[in-house]
Amino acid sequence: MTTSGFTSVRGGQRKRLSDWLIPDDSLDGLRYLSRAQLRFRVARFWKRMFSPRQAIASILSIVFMALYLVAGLTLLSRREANDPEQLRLWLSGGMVLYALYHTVKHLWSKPTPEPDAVTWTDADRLWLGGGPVSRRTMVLREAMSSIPSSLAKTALLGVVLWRDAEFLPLLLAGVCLALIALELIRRVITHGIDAMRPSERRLGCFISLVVGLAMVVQLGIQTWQSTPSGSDPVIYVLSAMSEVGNYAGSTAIQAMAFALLPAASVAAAEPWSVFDSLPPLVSLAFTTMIAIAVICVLAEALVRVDAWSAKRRIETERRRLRLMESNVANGRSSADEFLSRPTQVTRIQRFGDWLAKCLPERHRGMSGLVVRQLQCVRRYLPNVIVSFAIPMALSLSPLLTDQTTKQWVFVIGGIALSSLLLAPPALQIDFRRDLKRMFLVRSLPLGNVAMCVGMLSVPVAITVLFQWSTLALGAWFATPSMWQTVWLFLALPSLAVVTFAVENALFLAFPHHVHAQGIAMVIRAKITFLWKGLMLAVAPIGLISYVMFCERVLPTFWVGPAAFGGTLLAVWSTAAFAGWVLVRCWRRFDPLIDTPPE
Amino acid sequence: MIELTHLQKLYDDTIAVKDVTVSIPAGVICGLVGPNGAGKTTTLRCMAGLLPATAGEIRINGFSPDSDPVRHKRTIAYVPDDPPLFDDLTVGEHLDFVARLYQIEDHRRTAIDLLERFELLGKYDAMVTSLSRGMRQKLAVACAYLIQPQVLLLDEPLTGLDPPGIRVLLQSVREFVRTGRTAIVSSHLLAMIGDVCDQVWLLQDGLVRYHGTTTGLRQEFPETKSLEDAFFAAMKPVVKSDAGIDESTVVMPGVPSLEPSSLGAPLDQVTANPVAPSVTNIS
Repeated sequence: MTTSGFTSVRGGQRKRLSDWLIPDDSLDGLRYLSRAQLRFRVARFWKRMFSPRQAIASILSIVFMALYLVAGLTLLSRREANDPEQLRLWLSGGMVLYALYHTVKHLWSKPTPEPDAVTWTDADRLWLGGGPVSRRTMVLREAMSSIPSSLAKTALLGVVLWRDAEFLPLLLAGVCLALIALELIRRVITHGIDAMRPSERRLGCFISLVVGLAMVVQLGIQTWQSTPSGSDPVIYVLSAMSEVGNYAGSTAIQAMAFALLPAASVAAAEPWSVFDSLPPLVSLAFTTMIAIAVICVLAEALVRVDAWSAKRRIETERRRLRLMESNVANGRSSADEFLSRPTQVTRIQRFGDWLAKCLPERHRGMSGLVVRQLQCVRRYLPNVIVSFAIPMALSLSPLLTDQTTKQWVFVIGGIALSSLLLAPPALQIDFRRDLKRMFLVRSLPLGNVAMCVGMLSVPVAITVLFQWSTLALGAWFATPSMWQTVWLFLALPSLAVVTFAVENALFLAFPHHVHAQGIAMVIRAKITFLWKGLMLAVAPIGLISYVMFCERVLPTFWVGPAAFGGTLLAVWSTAAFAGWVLVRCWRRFDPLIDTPPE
Repeated sequence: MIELTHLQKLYDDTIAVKDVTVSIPAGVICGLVGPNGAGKTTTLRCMAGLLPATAGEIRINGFSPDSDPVRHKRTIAYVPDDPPLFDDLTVGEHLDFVARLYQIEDHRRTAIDLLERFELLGKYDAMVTSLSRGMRQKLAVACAYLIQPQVLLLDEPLTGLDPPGIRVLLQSVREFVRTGRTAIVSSHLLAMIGDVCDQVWLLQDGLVRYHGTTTGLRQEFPETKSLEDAFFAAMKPVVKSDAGIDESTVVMPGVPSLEPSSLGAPLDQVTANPVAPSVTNIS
């Protein structure tokens, strides 16, 4: 090979420790890239502070962090400290439960032909993937990108857990090490699942379904047995949480958490019994070193699993290619089927045609948006069903308690909570899906209102379907008053509109890429959670206050109609206001300026 | 020397590359043509080591992306259509980054010359997000030249370029191959391929329909009046005879002979703009 232009090329020097640590000569370039990107982000943050819109986000983040810290130091300082052993078990076991959740989620997600496209940006894949960078370096670089978000999560968890800490720096170090290890485990699982053949994946899905159901049933039975009969649904919720804690500390889960145990021991400042003969500080130092060593081993495992996964994917591809070739050779090609498929009009397309006829002429384009979203839903239907079936089961679970009146309140609370918190991430088929295509979306011949209505129609409709079906089932069992049920059927859809309108408005005001990670995303998720929590708390208080006001001021005959109509007017006015905000945000969205860099 | 042997690539449920066997010697410009969906980009991405081949072998200057991917990638520069760039870098930082990644010593002078040649010097401190599509293309090409590859793979490089840009790019490709290196240019501009390329490589439905010199292509289809007609004749739908042999497939056996006269084809036939290219030597 002619090596003109290269200052150093490694050759014939394999299997040395230096090769393991620095597998190629690209580190200088990667360091330069990381420094330049960090510099750009700091400069951008500073510049944003002078832009009114972006400054709001930055100030909100700072205020949130300050409030969170204050809450941690005041409210949480009053709670009783947990036993260090309990902390250790919950930390390691809880993370294993998260890893299991991730496994099930990834098993059920649609396999992608290019898994790298999910984790790396297009620029990464071209310039690093196509450059003289070993796969090992690429994988480790990507894995290391989780460190900043792990640090942020450590800070947030540290505020919650500081009361349980024997020694705060050790708690932070242990939590951070455990989070990094968890991220590496998550990536190992992802690469492992990506390597599965379709039949293996189907088997994995089936096993996960059976095991998952068994775990839920077990948890349900344990909760049932551990809660006194006739208890409040809140007590059941607390019992269930306690059972989850016990489950995390069970022998089976702890056996699976072997890679997280050293870090959890560091966090709890509980050195392993094998080091009992050593002074506590020395034994804790040894445990910390073991936790760091575990991370190194996991990193190496990740590199190897990635290589194995890539090799196996190619083998699977070869098998499929041979099968396709033999099918063609044997005259079993499905060419005719492929030819006839595009000419068939699907039910979704027929619905789109019908919708177009129903809409005013200038808004007919909305039917195209609806058809596109419905096709997307059809493609991911299993995921959508699972995403709503679990909240439905959870929302209806209070009906299993012996309470009669309060269980209905909890069913409604469950529906509201699911609509606010779970529906938006499950149905990201609105503006959030099209960040990379905003120029195209902007060019569509639709007015701002029609565009927003079209984008929100299918997600809102699916959420309303979930609300109504859960409500109908709940009403059938709990038999509340008819007017109350009617009111809920009419009022809850407004919550779906508010949720998706605010979610999209926030996205258009502060856009981010789908796979964006990092500290900003962690804080963003917390702030979003906070406004939803506040809304859940404030909205019922407002509505109840209005009803009480009606009772005091109006004659008895008028209280019912005024409360019924007034509250409905209030919730739908809020929905209309949220929709107006969304339209404003869409109107001022400029794809050229507002699309964030990847 | 580029050698592809029975290259196949299955992408999702599509056999994007069915069976490609070609051998391209050093020191030539090879034009890669074919209809949309022929497998051109997939073949180039496999050659660049960005996609693993499902079957077959790729060997470029003796290196294979399977056995020695890092060295293989050092020998190649691949510029895709509408290249993705790091949005958080400036133009100058992009070149600096690429030079460091490939360990190019004293790259500043060359980088500035390249930017000057591609009329990007004024954008040295501009963020890449502020560049037009053509400018992004030019920056990616400048980065490709900066690393001094042995093989240059350009996928639709002229899309988005202004006429002076096209002229400069084609001139630079010619200079590049004069130093004994190889360039593969994928394009739909048949006139440009005929003027600039020494060889033409026709792909259709993931199969090589023709590989050889442009003159050879004309000779294969003597009934055609122009090179463009010959392209279309070579890309006629496959007709199977009773014996099951593709009667319309024309694949040149072995390495085709070069056509040195085409190295100096007049560029005026390609672009009408008479702006002269600057003088930086790509080699």
